[in-house]
Amino acid sequence: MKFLKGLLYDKKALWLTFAVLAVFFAAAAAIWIQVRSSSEGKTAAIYQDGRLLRRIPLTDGTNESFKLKSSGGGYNTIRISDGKIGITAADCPDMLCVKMGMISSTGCPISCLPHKLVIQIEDAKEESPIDATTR
Amino acid sequence: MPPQDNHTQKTNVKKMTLLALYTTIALTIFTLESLLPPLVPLPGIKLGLSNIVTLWLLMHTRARDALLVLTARIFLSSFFAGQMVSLMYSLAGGFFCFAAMTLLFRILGNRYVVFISIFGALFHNLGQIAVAVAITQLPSMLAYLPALAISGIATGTFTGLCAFYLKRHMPPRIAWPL
Repeated sequence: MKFLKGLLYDKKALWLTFAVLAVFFAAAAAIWIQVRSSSEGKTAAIYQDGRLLRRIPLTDGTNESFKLKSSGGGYNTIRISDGKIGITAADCPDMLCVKMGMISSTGCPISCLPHKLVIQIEDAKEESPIDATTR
Repeated sequence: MPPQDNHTQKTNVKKMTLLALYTTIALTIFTLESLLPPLVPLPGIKLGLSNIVTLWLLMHTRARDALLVLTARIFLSSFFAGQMVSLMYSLAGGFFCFAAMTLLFRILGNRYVVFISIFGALFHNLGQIAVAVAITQLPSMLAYLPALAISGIATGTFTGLCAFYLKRHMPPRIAWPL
């Protein structure tokens, strides 16, 4: 392993390796907990500029598609079908929000950061939007 | 302006040219990297190859010069991309990363560049998430943090190794000819 020579050579390097591994396993554990504790939510909440815009119940029958204008002049097309919600079209530069696909569980929210738009799934139990934003 | 003798003036011009050159290199790397399609559809996950230039400058010169190049690169790249929102993310991430790396270089020294790069990448992600929480005002943005941390470790190792092998194989009179 000649190319590794000079990389792991002393105690300091060893401790730093442990520190990096600790961060790695902590992150992996956090993802595991996130995936395990996420449940199929019943309500989608759409936030823009830090305010709750809409709450949509995700029942199987709901089939809807609408365009949402952002304050900066852009748009996102949001689609709800088969109990899932997602962004199908947008004019942001990276299109990450579209690539994140359709979600139906409480784990990872969809965000379009250039348009300050976030869609997250919430349990139907949470009633007031104030609780939801300060949670 | 205090009077300067001919020699310091010459060095200053040389240094300015060199820093401008490094800014160009960083900007080129950044632009080429942004042409790559994102591997994982999560905001903030990218290789961060232009951090090699920052690491490189922190190894060879004063932190002040590296900060100058970093700031110029961030502003120029977001002017070219035409995104004011992304400027805020880049600035927060870049300065968090820079502060962490400068401190670690002081404590540890140049030999530990791979570790310093990893922690720099982690702090970059931390800064970006902080801005995301501030802009959207939703703490649920923190849900991205674990995934970003894992990608930060991977990409930080890569850029750190790039800087490490560059340092090993590039003669210092080419890297910093002052």
